[in-house]
Amino acid sequence: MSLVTVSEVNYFYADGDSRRYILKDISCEFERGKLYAILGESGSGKTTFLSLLAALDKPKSGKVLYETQDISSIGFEKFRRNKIGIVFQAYNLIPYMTAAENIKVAMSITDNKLPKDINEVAYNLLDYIGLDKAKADRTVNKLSGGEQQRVAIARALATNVDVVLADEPTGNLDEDMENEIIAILQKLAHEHNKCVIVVTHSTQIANQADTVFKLRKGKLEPYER
Amino acid sequence: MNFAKRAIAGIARKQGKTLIFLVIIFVLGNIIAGAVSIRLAVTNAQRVLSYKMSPVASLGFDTEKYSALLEKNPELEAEAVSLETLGEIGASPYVKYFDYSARLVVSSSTLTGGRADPFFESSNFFEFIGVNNPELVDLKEELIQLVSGRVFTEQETKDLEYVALVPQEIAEMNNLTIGSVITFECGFSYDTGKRRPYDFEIVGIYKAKTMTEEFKDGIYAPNKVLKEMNDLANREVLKDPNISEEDYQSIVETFRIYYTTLFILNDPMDLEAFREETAALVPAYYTVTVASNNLEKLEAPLQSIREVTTLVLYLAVVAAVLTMSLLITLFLRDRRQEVGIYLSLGERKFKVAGQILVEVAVVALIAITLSLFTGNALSGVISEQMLADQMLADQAHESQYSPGDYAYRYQGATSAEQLAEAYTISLNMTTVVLFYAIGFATVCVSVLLPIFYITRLNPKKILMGGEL
Repeated sequence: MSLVTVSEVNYFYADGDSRRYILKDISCEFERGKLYAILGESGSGKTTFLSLLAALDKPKSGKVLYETQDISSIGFEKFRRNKIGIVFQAYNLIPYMTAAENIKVAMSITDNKLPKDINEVAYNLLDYIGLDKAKADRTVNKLSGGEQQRVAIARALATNVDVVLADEPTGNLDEDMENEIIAILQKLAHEHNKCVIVVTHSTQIANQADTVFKLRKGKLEPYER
Repeated sequence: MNFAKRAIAGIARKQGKTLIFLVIIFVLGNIIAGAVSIRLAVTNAQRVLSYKMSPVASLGFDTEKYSALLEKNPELEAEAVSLETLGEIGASPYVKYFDYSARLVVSSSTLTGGRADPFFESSNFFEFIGVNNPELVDLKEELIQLVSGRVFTEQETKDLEYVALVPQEIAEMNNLTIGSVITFECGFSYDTGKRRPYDFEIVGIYKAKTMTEEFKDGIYAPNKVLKEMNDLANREVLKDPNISEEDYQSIVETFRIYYTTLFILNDPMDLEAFREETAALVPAYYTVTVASNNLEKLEAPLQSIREVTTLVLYLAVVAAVLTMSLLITLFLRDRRQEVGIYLSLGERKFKVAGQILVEVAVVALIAITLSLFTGNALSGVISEQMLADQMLADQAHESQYSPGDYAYRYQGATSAEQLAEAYTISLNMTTVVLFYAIGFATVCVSVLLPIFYITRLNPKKILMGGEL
């Protein structure tokens, strides 16, 4: 059964009477336990597509469903708070806070039920994605790019959500670090039954993904490897 | 890490910005604190002055008006107000105390501590203050305080009883106690030997509290006694063969006993009503003078300071709102990404606004508390100088009454010195509460623009840039 369903979604910019379509009649489904990669060239609409899945923007027409519920009826803010975790290319961590505090910020925002000792959860999560306590207590701008991206992934997981959305998560990382991040994302999908959707240029991620789509001229097509 | 904890982390870890913000609020806070302190001190001083300024009225003859009319009509006659009419006015429900007083200057060859009188080239003259009301209005109104003995009895003011209340200073100087008998000489002959002696029994000794300087050594005695002394002196003059008829008339006119009146009202608000009511009872050319006229003059420097500080307060609040609004918005622009992160995580906008409010409020609380003390201290120094300058500029404290008028004593009780004394800058509860209220209201208004800015932020645009 699909966890996230995209149904006939259109997104365009109005230019006078004409419309410039970024996404046109897109329909697809995303399931738990799978790593999805969405490939596309620059300007193909990958980020727009992710922003619709992340409820950071509204489709001009069509629906995005979580389980069977339209996310607009859940409320975009609430959906972001309780149903998804987002990983950005630029990490988007709060620079003056430590890695652990960045995790705790997300945990304090969600309405999801979490263990009482959020400190322990934060350290365990960071440890799980490969950051020890010493690094967990450093302000994030003192961590490397790969470490910051790990923190971002840990933050996406911290709220106990089923969907992790990642926008070019390895875009700023070297190859070794990229492999490590891909491994973590795979682990999340396969071992923790999360639905992980990654938009990327990286063929390396595409090669490791369970399902790959390609965005071309506003259309989402299955991608054959 | 709820929004309040995030706010505290923001304050503690962004020390440069926190410091800039603290300094700006501190500086503006000083101006606001100063203005608040001064305004409250002015209000307090005005209240103190109005308490001290008894609702005093006096009946006076408008000499200027009468003289002007007399020039046009030499036969114009002015009727004197009778004691019966004064009694009728004194019985008005507006009046708390009423009295009328004769004044008589006499000499004493046995007492020391008298005043110099250039007319007689002597230095041992004493001034009697006549009393008709045995309750002694000056005592009731706390111009004087009874040190020992008693006030006059009803009988003493009605009968011809030679009794007196003397100032403590003169009593001590002459070893006088209650029951002592003192002798004064009264007469209008230049030859002191021809003055008639009068023995007074001391029934009370008083100490001046707030009375004007001229009356501090006055001796209280019943009006009736003073009138008798004056009349006898006139008769003595009449008997003197060396005095011509013309001179005699002149002397009688000069030394006629005058009564001045004093009406202490229950409520200063009744002064106008009392003035109207009295105008209907008194003969032509008599006017009611009220002490509140002088209070207004005395309050003029305070009023000037109040106006200046009110303007300063409004300007400082407006400047604070504008500066803080722009500064917070500017700082927020630097933190757009942080706000975008919170919003992308699904944080409610009011909580993001709450975080900003807490950050500003905590810094403001520290700065406001510091400026409360410094602003208060600075305003004390500045405003006292302002008050002194204003008082110098507004040297318009001439009394509404002549020095011979009974009410003049009450006029003098609220002097410019007392104005300065009443004006005190202090850190009382009202100052603190008002200052914090204004401070936090300013902070709340200042964060409106930044909060509006937050509500306009779109996390997609901030975090994903212009990417498609």
